[in-house]
Amino acid sequence: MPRLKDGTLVRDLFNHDKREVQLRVHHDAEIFELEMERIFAKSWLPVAHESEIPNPGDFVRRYMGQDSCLVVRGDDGRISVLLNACSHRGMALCREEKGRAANFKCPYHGWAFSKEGRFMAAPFEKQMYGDQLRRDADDLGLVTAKTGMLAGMIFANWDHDAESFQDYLGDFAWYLQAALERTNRGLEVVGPPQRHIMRANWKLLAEQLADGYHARALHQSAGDMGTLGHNPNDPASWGLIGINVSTPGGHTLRCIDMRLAYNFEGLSAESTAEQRLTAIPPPGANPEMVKEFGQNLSDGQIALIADTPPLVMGLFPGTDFFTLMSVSGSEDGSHGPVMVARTWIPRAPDLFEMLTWILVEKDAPEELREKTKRTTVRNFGISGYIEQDDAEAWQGIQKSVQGPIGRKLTGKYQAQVGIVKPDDFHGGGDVHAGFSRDDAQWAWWKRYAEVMSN
Amino acid sequence: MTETLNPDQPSDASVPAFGAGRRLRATEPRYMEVLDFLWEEASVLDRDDLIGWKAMLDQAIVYRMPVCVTRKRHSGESFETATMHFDEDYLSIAFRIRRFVETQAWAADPPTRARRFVTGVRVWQGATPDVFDVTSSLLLVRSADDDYRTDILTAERFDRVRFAADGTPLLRDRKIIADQSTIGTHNLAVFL
Repeated sequence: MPRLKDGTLVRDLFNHDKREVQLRVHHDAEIFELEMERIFAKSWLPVAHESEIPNPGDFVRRYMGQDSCLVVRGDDGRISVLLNACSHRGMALCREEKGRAANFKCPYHGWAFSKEGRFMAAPFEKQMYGDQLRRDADDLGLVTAKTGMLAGMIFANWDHDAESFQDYLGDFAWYLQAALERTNRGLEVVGPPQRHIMRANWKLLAEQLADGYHARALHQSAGDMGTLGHNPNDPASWGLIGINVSTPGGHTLRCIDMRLAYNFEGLSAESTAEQRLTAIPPPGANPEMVKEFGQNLSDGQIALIADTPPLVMGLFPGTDFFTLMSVSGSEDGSHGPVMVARTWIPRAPDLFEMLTWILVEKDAPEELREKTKRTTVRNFGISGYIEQDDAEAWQGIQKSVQGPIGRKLTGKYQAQVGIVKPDDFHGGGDVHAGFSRDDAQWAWWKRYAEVMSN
Repeated sequence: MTETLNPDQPSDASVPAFGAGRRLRATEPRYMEVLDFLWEEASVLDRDDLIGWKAMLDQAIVYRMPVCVTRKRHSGESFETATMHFDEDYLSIAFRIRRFVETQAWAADPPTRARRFVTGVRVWQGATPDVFDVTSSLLLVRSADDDYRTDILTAERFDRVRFAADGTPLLRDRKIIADQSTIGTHNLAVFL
């Protein structure tokens, strides 16, 4: 049971009765180090999209927590995730962010490794080592992570004893498939992710994913610009009425109630989910693609994306998918979808790096592809005008916890819906229907507390 | 001068490649006018006069900032036009400016302070007599709130500057190639 140097038990940073967490979790270097060991070295983290490395030998270099990794496509098409550090002396093996390689050769002494991370050979091997390296070859490979895939996004986990990727997704697989694996050919990314820094603790982003409440104040300008909150006093128009879902594993998602947010004029009350989806296709899709949904999704999943589509989907600790139906970004008055996958790399207690991938359907016609790319860049990512304001909140809290008085404050999550599951809702997990309150956010903190305390 | 200066070479073969025209010497009047335009533009942006900056843009502007990726020397380009940090036209820039100026945009209110240093300006005659291809180096130093730390962004800019019929220079296109793969600032609520 971890204890901080001042004697505090980590578990005492959380008050489960009051649903409060001490804000020092965003500041303490000791806590940060514990997170690296207990969370980022043992969790499923997204590293790349398979469309970034379509051919054998294609690789990208990414991070899992602070550890640099290579994501490589092998000759058989399978993907390996390898620690980017030579087994000889630890030198960073690969020094470019993407490329194509037949194998990986260390610049320091020249040890060479296969695309799957197997030790292959070393220069002057006989003269230097005799036959020792041949005998030890199996133990000299690169550290490997186990891998999983969702919607083409490659996930990896350094801990080979960790739960399987399917078990990790648990009840959320159903929701994520509905939102992201709806078409026959599926999604791809338009290119490598945007990367930028944030002077804040990584958890301020991660725990915010289930926070609908901030939209009214922090994103007021999006309301003023006609993207959110068309009726400023109506919570539904801020996406605050819907269904939040959480799991004991700390996954969170927010579904918005389409029936309140959009006008299905011209469709009768008895219209089918498919008719509604055809009238207003989900983010990044068009009516043509809607015809394929039935081949990939269950009736319950189709009903989900027609009536209460997931908007923000967070996977503990380091992933989110954000799909927005229709936002603006131009004085031409046009609206378009936002489709992103994001991850965050903790660099220090008060610094993280953000990666933002833009997702498009592989079958998207050029016009839809361009529209998705543009609307996404204008709203999300480093220049996105919605996300610009989120950065202010993350960095603003980080400033508050710099002082010993400020970091004695707590984050407060008392607003609860409880477990409320509509009869016609088919999804699993802990379902909190109604106003978007703190239930799912607190579920995130419960999971964090569990991983950090035991 | 036919080296690849712009990642978006026009596909229309009748349009000369960026920088393919005659290079103007730094003593020529048109060079001076372009240089003066870039300095004026930097000053207008530094003063946070976004409405004034908008008036310096050609309404057909294409304003882009591709993502930069670290590659080996012989592996190809180090920027990726597939993913952009900015992917703008006149009306989307106008949207951003209206948000900053007229609404409660927390990211820009209070505004960050930025100082733009524009140097290494080179000018080529463009495809038509009124258009010039321009490259420049940009150093942008950004300061937010009372933080003593500053964010530094450096980039090469590939511009097309068009002189309107009355002689007014306008920014017709801009492509920004940042030197950082991981952009070292928390947002791009600034124009480069």
